[in-house]
Amino acid sequence: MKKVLLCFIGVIIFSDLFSQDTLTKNYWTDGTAFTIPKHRWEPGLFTLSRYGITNKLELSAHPLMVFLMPQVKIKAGWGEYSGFRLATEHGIFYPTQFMRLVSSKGTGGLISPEFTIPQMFAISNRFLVSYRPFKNVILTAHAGMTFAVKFGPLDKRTTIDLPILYTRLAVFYNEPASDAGLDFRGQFIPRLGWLFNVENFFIWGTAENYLLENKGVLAYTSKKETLRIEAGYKLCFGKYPAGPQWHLLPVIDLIFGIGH
Amino acid sequence: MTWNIRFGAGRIPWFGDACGNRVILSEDEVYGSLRAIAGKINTVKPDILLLQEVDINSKRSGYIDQLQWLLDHTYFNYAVYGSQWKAQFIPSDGLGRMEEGNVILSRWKISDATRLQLALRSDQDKLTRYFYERCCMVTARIDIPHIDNFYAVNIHASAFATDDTKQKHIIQFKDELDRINKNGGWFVAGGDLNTLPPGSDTTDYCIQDMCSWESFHSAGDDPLHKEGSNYEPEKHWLEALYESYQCAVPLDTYQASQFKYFTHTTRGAHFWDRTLDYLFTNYQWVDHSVVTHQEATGESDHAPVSVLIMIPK
Repeated sequence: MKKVLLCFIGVIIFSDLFSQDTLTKNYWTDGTAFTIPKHRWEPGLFTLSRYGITNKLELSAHPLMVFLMPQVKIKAGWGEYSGFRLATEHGIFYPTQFMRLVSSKGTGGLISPEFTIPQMFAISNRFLVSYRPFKNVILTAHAGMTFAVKFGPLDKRTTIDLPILYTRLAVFYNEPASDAGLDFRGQFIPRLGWLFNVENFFIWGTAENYLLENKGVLAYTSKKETLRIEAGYKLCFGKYPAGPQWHLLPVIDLIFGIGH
Repeated sequence: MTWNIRFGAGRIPWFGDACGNRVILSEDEVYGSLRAIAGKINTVKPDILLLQEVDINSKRSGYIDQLQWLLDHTYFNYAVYGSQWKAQFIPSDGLGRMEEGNVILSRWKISDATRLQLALRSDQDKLTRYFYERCCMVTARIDIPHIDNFYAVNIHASAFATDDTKQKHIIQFKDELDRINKNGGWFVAGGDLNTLPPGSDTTDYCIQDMCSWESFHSAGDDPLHKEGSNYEPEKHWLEALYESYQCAVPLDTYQASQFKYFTHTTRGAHFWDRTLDYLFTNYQWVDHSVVTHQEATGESDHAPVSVLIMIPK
């Protein structure tokens, strides 16, 4: 394990010496304390799409899910202090429409139609600190808290006990949820990047109180920074109502870059 | 004793088998049914118990491990579980996770337990079949003192197959009993065969089982018969079993007064209207010892059947 770690650090240092400093443009920096430049737009196929309102304010939303399960986030950059870049992220998440849609009889029914899904939304706030140990490497630590507001009772039997979905919806069945994690990303060579992150979710007020997501991807970026292709894995652990479970999922995404 | 306990749903109108709109039961509902089931078991006190439809980690029954709960609340210390329906997530009707199976409980130690896969339905599309139950049979040797070749066999045959799947299950069941018999073993075997004894007066329950929004037997109805309710094509399927082994309720006894041995109904507010549950042996039952516990109307949509067996020397 120690050798693997040393090799990994060696590759990072080596690639850092010979690579261009494309990360300083703040492209492809979702999940970090960096905000994308003003008027830069990065629509993604599966991940949140980002838009730079100003150089310090970034808006993100999911284009495909916006009508079904809208989630909007604002990231505000608060500057850099002693090499540490600070940002806060504030989001709102409205799952009612999606949950009502999948609360149906027959194929596609993820929730039993016998239950009523109330109007509800969640507000999340997250603090991010990024640091560059090397020129083309960003290390980010983040922590946050999510609160749910419901306009009616939500039966606990309506949980969708699947990775990713259960994690995002758990806050609606319990007390507030908090999260903390690390994001580590960089470039091997100018066009080829990597990302490794770990997110921990702590759900209050329940025995099913801990979930974890670890993502590792390799990313190819086009020469003009107009396309990024990510492929890798997502490893999920969760204490679900049925008990602890692990899931290993494939990750693939296309993110387009428009403007600079 | 054999008993299909309907995953602790009691007589709740579940969507899958009782024209209901209920899918996910509350923990209180399931524990209520389990308490009633355990009460009946503790009253009858069978030495060997064959259970069907036992959930051990299903969303529909509150993720309650019903087998463990029954072990904790009855006198049984030994059990074997064979998975009948296992899906991490069924994306239909909100079913979610499913883990249901057949169980053999025993006062005596159990060994050599085997789960035997039964034929899969061929009348379903591939997507449905992927998430659907895989009917099975569980066999186990019961280590009764001084008898080293006594077996219990528990089967839950297909309930809704409209092809020859159920017939295949019955043939597989008999083949297994023949194998034990041929090897000099003794057995008590049974379960929910989901078909009627030969000579039953009524063989078509489509109208009785019909939901308010359904129509059968009329011109233009497609299907003409309700899935799992028309036993007419099956009326000879159990004859070979009856001819080879002793049924706890002999055929002539059943045919003389059928309603006394009815063990099932699909309708929540109705009394038992057909016999689907059986016990067979290749040795000898104690005469007139069989009891169809028709008074147990609230615990499940099946009545338990118990009988005393002579122990071979």
